[in-house]
Amino acid sequence: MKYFRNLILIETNESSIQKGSKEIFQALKKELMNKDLTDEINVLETGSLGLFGEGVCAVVYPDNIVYCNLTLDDIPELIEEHFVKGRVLTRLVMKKTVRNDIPLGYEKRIVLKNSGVINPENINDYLGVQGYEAWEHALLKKKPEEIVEIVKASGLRGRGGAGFPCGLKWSFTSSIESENKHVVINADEGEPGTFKDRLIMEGDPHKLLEGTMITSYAVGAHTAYIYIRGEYKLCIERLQKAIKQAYDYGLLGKNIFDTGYNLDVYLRIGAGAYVCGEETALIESMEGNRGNPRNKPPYPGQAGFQQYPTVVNNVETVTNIPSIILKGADWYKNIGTPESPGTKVFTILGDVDVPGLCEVEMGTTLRTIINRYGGGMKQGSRFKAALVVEQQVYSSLMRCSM
Amino acid sequence: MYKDICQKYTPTKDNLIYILHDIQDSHPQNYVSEEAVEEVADYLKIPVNHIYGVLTFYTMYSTKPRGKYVIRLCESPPCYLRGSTNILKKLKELLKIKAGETTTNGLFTLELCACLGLCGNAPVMMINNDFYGDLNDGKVENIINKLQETEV
Repeated sequence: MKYFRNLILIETNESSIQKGSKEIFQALKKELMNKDLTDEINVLETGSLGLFGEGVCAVVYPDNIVYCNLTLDDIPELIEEHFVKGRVLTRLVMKKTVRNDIPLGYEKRIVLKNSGVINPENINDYLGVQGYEAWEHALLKKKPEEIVEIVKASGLRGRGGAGFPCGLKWSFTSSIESENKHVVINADEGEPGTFKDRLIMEGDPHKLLEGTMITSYAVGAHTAYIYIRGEYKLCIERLQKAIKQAYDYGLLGKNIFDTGYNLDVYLRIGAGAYVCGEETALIESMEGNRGNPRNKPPYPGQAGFQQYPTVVNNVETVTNIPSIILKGADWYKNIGTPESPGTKVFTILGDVDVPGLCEVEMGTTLRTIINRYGGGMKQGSRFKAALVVEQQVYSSLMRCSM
Repeated sequence: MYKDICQKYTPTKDNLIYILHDIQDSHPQNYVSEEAVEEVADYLKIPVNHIYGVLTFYTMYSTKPRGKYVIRLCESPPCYLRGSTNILKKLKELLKIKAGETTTNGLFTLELCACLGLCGNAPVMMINNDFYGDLNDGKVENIINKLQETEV
């Protein structure tokens, strides 16, 4: 194995790509080659660092320095200063103090722990951060019922908006005897201003996949579908890669880890319909119909996709599962509030100083989110209103002239 | 002529959405034609009107020919708050069409769409598969001009 002196991670997601992150990635590689540094310094792409409005960002490890607003012209200087002379190029260092210790340590991250830290397109990176350990542990050491009990005890609630207890939902389906069961992951995120699921999928697709696998095993399903909206091109691309890698490594497919358990995961792509975020409409869409919601009952847990029992979970919900399995229900229960344990991913936008992404403990007030994580209001702006969408997922602050 | 696309999928109804996606992407005018619908109906053994119902339900499909570049401008609140209406005005002015129409040279179609999930860069638009964010009048003009130039 090769060791590198420094690791540069370039943020690549849909927002940074249109600001030129792909070109900057190439330019960095080229410059390192010119300076003959490719054996010492590695440059990789990673998920969101949680900063918006700061242009193309990159983080340098182990120094843990975040550079922002990078342009192609900066690259030679950056390489020369930081990597040849060993001086931090202060001109480009992230100035806003509130988040100068990102991406590690500031927030309590579970779901987004690896986003901005690993290369989402490489399964080995994920394996290096205890990836798929929970899957192995679940499959080899636990019975499906035990996993349902752990998740029940953890108190994890659905992150799609309704907040239904996840373990309870699973228990409805796991107790049914059926020749066929399905798991569907709802990644049809369409609420205006909400894009946490996109950032999760772009930043750490393998974690979603691992959560999906454990969910399927727990409820006794042998097929799982991830339904993504058609507009999320990068998510689709990264998840396709992740699924392929998981098959190649024998984490999916037939007789996984010689346990006799089979599981296939498929991607399903939406075609542009907001209502398909509703679980029964989503199932209709998967069956090749118009996305009209069904009458309930029966609930999908009893009769869902192709009338088989189907568990439908949100992306963020299942991304919590691997950590719960590894660290236990008690650990999870101690985070957040007693009624709603765990963390929640927020996107903060509008006239705040540092628009961005954060993952905070449940029970954190809107004031803290805006003032601490959003850096407070922009200079010259006064707080007027917050638009909080889908259970406090998004807050937008309207400008108020002074 | 759509046989090859159909046969990539097993003939079950749940593949309808994907077949339609592929057909639309393969067509230079970015739409699903009547003959394509009939071929798919034949292949999947489902009624034409079911397919038509699906096509008109989802916003990403079109049953009318569209331009080479389909511009989809977000009209959700986060973009609205940051001036998407001005961008729409600018686009209409530049292309001399209304929302939902295609330019006479067959290059551009202007559409409005729901949140694209790039609110950190509002206002945002998507042209075919690419996103363009932090739009202002000048930027929009540049983007359209560049696309127009590549076509000359």
